[in-house]
Amino acid sequence: MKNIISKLRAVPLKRKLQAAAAAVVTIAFTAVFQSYAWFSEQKKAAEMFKVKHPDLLYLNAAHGEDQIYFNLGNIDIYLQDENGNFVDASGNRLADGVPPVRATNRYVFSVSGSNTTAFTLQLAYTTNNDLEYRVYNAAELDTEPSGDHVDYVLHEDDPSTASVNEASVETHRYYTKGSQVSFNKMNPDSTNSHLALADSSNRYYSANYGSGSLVHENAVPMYEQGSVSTNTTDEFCKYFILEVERAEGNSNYQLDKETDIVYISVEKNNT
Amino acid sequence: MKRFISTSAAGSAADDNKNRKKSLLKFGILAFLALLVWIFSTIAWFAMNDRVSADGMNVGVAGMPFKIAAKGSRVRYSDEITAARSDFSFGSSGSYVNSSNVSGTYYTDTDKLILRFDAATDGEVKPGDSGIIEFYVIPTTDGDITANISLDVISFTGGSDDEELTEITASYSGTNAAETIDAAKYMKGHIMFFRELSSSQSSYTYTGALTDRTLTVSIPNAVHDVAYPVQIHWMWPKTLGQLALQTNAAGLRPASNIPVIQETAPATVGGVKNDKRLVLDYLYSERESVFKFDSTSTYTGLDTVIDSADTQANFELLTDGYNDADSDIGTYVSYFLIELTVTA
Repeated sequence: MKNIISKLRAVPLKRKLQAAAAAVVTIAFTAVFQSYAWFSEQKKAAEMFKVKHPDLLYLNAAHGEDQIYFNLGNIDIYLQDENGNFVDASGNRLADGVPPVRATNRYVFSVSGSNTTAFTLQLAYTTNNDLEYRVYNAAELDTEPSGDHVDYVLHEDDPSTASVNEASVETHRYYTKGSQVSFNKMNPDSTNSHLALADSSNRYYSANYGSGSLVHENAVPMYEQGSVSTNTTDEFCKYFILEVERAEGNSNYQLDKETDIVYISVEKNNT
Repeated sequence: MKRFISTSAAGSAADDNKNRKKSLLKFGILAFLALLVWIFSTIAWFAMNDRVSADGMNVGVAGMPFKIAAKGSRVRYSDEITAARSDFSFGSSGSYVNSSNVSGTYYTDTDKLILRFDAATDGEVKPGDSGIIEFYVIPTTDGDITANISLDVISFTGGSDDEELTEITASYSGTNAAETIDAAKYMKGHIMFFRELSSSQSSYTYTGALTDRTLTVSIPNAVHDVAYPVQIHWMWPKTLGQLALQTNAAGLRPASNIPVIQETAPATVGGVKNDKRLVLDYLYSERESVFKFDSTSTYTGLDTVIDSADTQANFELLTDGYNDADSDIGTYVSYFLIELTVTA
């Protein structure tokens, strides 16, 4: 035993290092062999598919601004001056007994999206104020045109939000009327076309009023639908002007402010 | 003393020669031996390993007993797939017979194969669409063959004139990176795989849900050089109602949207889960890839919501989450790849 130990001690350092290195490599070989044992051959196969872009349709205020900026507010029914007297189109006071002149209110909204060749515009409204709604195609202009147009201030440059020292800059867009979008009234009352009617199967207001039959005649919503073509499958943005006016032939001349609700909806036509 | 020194004079010259020769010989032998030792020690020094290394080890494994092959006249989006997977190839065509002894042209002899199809038209994929992934196993030896298949869905963006085709990985850094990475996650979650198309049923479409994305195919008594088909059905469900309802008594699913799998109670019979149980479990375990909810707390405890998807409130919550995820897929993902990995 002593001999062996002394012989081992006598082995030079280099030899000891080599022996140690050889032992380590042997162990490493074994370890590597073990870990490679699970590696197995595999084959792959693949197929590629293209995803269709979704059909998009958006309803916005003028110039594609947020819906919150589409605001009908208080509608003028007849032309009046600041004292409340009826005036004519030039601003001259009307004589007593002369029927008041209807005011035409115009509001701009936009329909935008992609992958839609045609869509249906729908107006749904209550008839408390006996108003007529018309929709026209509109064109947007950067510079003020000379003829009839609607002026719109972009809200990103609203002067009321500008800081005190900043010069307020208003950016305008001008909209001119084009062709009218033809609408069909879906549920007119057969005796009085200014009123809407629930049809015999109660299709038109059951979602709002349930199956109740004691609904005020003006609270029954009128539905009007019109179809618009975009003539493209790419992205599009179409502007419309909504004209709101007291119905022609209304001789009640009532000014009492009643509340009406009007919904504008848009749906893609699946062709 | 004198006597020892004085060697016999007569034989001294001869003796001296002999001695000289002897010592010369001895010297020569020694010198030669020394030379040998010197040569060997030089070699030994030269070949000495005082630094041991082991690099690149080639481990040979016995090959798979089959090849994979594709059959069909066309390749879907071949430019895009070769750009996305440059290491894949179309393979080389060869004639093989199928199990009915009908001969056909198959593309094989590659470890990374691009699959093919035959239909006359090909369209863009949207929710509600489905298809078949088909490839062939051509054994190289006779006997029983088992193939283990795992499926993956990988999404890409771009691929148009404006933007290069880019794989959406966890480290994608293009525009809207976070939304795009989420959209790739939803794409993977919304593609479902099934084993069988139940054409005899009109009330539902598929059976054999592969919700863990793996499949084992066995071909007993396979014959070498015969092409055996493997078909996997993929489907992108249009609505959640076609997946998650146990019954349509409440009319939550429009009748025209046929259920993807049989509408029944989820059950586990004899350790085997039925398709409804598998799909509901999948919707829960992959909820972050199937539903898009704004608030992360909605995902917690979603298994109870999914198990009672038949109530209006739960149904609406899950449907909104599913549809929002679909909308993001359509917006951010332009191509997706179904990739199969086949092992013996």
